[in-house]
Amino acid sequence: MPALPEELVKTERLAPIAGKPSGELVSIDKGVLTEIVERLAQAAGAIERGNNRAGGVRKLWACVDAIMRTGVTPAGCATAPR
Amino acid sequence: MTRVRVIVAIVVALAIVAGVVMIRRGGETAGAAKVTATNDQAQAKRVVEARADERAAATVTQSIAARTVRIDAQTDAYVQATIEDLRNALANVPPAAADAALPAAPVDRLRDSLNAGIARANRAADDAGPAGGAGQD
Repeated sequence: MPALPEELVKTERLAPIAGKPSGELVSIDKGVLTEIVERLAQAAGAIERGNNRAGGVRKLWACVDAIMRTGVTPAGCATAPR
Repeated sequence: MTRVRVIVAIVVALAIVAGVVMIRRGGETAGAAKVTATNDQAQAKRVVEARADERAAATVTQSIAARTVRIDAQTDAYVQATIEDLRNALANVPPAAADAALPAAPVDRLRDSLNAGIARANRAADDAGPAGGAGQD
């Protein structure tokens, strides 16, 4: 197996929300605010899934490479933990 | 007398040459067959090994794909729980009374709830491999 290109399994990160108030207030409809925070939660979930998939591809590549080279399935490849 | 001897000698020499040629031919054929058989065996062994490797790789592929699907489902469940929490936090805000200041949005709780999801996403990046820390904001 050739080396796995790192660009294909690059992970993504989100900076946490600091929530520092500026002191300026605006009013916002509850429905709008609800929708916005829901989308944000979903976006964070999408990033989590994407990162997990990147991890899966990396693991798959390493396992198949080891099998092709040695003919033996390495520990941690046959039965997936977690 | 001498003539007869010469003829006998020639016949004997021819017989020897014929024998050598025959033995050589036979040896060549047998040797080639042996080499071919050995090669065939080695080839068959390699093919069997390659097939076994392919099967092992297919098994591992299935297992990793199944694991990823399971983790995806966990993430979806977590996102759903977060959304419920966010909705509850906002639903708990009392309606604005007439002539009174607007109630504050539960920004701390919203932030904490969202940050928990962000922390999960970033942990997933950490778990994703050796270069997992090199991601972007």
